[in-house]
Amino acid sequence: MIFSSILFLIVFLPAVLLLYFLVPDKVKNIILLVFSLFFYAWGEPVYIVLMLFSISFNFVIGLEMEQRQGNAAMRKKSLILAIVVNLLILGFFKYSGFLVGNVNALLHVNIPFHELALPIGISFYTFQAMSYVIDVYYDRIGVQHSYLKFALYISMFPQLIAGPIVRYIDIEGQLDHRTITWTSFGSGCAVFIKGLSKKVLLANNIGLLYNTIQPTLGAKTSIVTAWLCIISYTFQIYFDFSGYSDMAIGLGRMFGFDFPENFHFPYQAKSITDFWRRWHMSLSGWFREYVYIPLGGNRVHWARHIVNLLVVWSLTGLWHGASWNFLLWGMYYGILLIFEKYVLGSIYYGIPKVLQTMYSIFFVMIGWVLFSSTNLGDISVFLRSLFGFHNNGFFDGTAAYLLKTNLVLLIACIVCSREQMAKWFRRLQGRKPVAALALHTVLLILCIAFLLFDTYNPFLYFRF
Amino acid sequence: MRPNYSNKHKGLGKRNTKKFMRMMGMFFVVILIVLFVARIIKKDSEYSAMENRVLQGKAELTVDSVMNGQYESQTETYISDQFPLRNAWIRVKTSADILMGKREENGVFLGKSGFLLEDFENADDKKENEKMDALTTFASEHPDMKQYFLLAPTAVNVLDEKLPAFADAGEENAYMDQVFSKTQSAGITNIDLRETFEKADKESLYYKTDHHWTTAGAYLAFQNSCSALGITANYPYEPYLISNTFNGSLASKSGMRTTKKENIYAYLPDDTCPESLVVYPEEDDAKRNSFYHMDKLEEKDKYTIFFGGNHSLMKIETPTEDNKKILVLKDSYANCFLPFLAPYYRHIIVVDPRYYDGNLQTLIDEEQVQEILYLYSANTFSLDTSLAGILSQG
Repeated sequence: MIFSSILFLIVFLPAVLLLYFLVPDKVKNIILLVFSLFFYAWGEPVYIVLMLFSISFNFVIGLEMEQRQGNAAMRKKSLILAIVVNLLILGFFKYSGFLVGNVNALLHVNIPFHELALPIGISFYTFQAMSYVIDVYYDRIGVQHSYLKFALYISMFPQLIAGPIVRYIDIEGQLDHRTITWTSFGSGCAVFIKGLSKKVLLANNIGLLYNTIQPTLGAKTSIVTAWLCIISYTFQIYFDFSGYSDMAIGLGRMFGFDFPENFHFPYQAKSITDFWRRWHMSLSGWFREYVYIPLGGNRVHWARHIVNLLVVWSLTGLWHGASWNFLLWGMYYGILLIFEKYVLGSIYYGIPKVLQTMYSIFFVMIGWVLFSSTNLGDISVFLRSLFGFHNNGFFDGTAAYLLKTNLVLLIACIVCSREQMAKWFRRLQGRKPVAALALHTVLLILCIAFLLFDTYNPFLYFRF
Repeated sequence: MRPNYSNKHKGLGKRNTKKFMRMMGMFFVVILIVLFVARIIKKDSEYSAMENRVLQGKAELTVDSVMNGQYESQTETYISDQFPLRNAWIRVKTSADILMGKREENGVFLGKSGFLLEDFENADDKKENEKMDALTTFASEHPDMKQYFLLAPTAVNVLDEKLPAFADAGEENAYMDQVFSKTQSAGITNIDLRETFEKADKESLYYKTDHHWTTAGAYLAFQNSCSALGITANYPYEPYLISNTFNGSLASKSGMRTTKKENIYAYLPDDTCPESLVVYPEEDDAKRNSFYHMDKLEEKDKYTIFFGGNHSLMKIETPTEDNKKILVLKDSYANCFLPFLAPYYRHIIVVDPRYYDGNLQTLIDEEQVQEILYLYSANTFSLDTSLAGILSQG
């Protein structure tokens, strides 16, 4: 199930809220777990077995490490087993097709392979489970003795399928005790509505512009049209992903959980390094904590540091999907970060802020070109259209029409990706609470209308 | 710059923020309850006139349907199909789009003067060549048969100045040129209405919410086909209003202008015109002495007043002096055109290739057809996939 669906909004959410607040405190975790499993099973009735296995396995590893307290060698064995098994599961379901395909192509062999559907959320919950076992190993957290609470941590529906990747350390205490007031509940609702609006009103609609242009990209696409294409994708992916994170954070807050912030106005970044402190923070934080720092971080020889960065960023790229373009996209960022650290250095911070922002957003957009297409040929066509290497014109009627009919939406996207907009929202709440309430209600109504329109499906008798 | 709050104002801001959050929480719960209760009170509807389809009912809960995902997807459709005031929500969305400057929905443009205009689509080359080859081969195999080709321009072509600025609505004109040049070299007599339509009162020729031409458009088309068909128009016509509540297919397709109501006229001749009989072979040779199915006034698609919609085969019989027989291969544009043609042929055999599964050659032989008229709108003809098959059956 996804949050941005009518079923979730008018059936699932009211039902889980009603039961959650009716039952006594002791039962609240059970209600959340049952609904979370139902939420997952709705789209994946089979793969729920896999998730339950992952929960049980990592739970037992935690207990085992506790028993082996004082025996460092045995504890390390548990940790290695846990990491190997978690990565094997992820690898089998997510990367085996990619691997077999490349082996077949390279060695000219033909290993038969049956492509499996990717279990929803597997990349997210596997990383959460690994954060638990690694932190237990380093004694950063206590071992969870309640299977119920551990299962709830892994499968909690707000962050289950698209993050944020919540580290166990962040919600350890909240699994035992949570306080919910009308104020905290209401602030969760407001965040949820903002997230839903980002996804439904902005991402989905600007995504239509991308979907209109993308299939027509080619030698005849004018430069402005090509840029409209990548600009629309840039906004689509941001509002889609950050909207989903906001919905997760808002829902979490309704149930008394405090999830970490996942996006902090990334398109206002002043450098690529800054961008990655603002984009999908829970993922980059995870890689920093569990890969980059264990590899030695930046406190190593510069050559080793460069290798570390490239390893971390290749893995980050591959985490997004099993395909060469994601690896390329990750390496691209690794190289940019190395460039900023070792070439630009401190001189960079002397140039005007406007130029810093423009430089950052430019390279982020080129990054999205690599990200948006799994086919290397398409990437090349896209890049050539953007920079006029096709001798394509600069501007044409198509560009004018698309620009004109999407102008309001594009402006809305620009405005809503700025920090000023969030500040304006906060100020409105502080000054005119009723107006703020009305605004959120209008947004919710529009979201429902837009979601319903997706199911508008007229039967057209004159076309068979 | 933001105004600098004094401490007093800051305290107020904090209290207001808390007030907002409390109200938001309560209001959110109220909204959920209202929607939930509205859903329970509302009875399931079976049919949506606006979307012209049966709505999803409750899904059947079985182990199989759950495991293969059918139960889940049907339930999601059920919940959204049966959403309280569904059509009103749809209108909220399309109105919001129009406010935002959007002028296109599902391949339909919202043009000036309230015209909905459907974009022109080209079929892929292979299908296109198959169709045109079948047409020219058929012509060369029937050299003794007079053949006419009426390809009607659609609103997006004739009323292109109504399109939103810079809209890319396809290349219907170029397509029509290309088709006409092929039919001409195959020896078929073309009937090209574009010049006439451009000079006429253009807005009266097409419905604003439907993809068809109006009866006025069809009448003008008929008047301009007479010389090509070799007939002399004898009868004066008067328009009669038969519906003023027509909301057409383009409104349905786009969700825009779904409350607009239009007029449908029937053009009726004077008493001197011989009356025709229409035979519907697919309904056990049911016979009617009118072209107009007034019972269709009750339905959403009121354009089906003409002959009751599309039929695989119809025969129109008129007691004329000479014994002319013509075969019409057509789409729904012909439905309001045929009444004008009827008084000049003793037999008109009307075949809609999209539904006809008989053998065309056998039909031609049996009925001893002397002439053929192709009558299509450019857009349907471009996307047609049934003509090639029926023409090359041999």
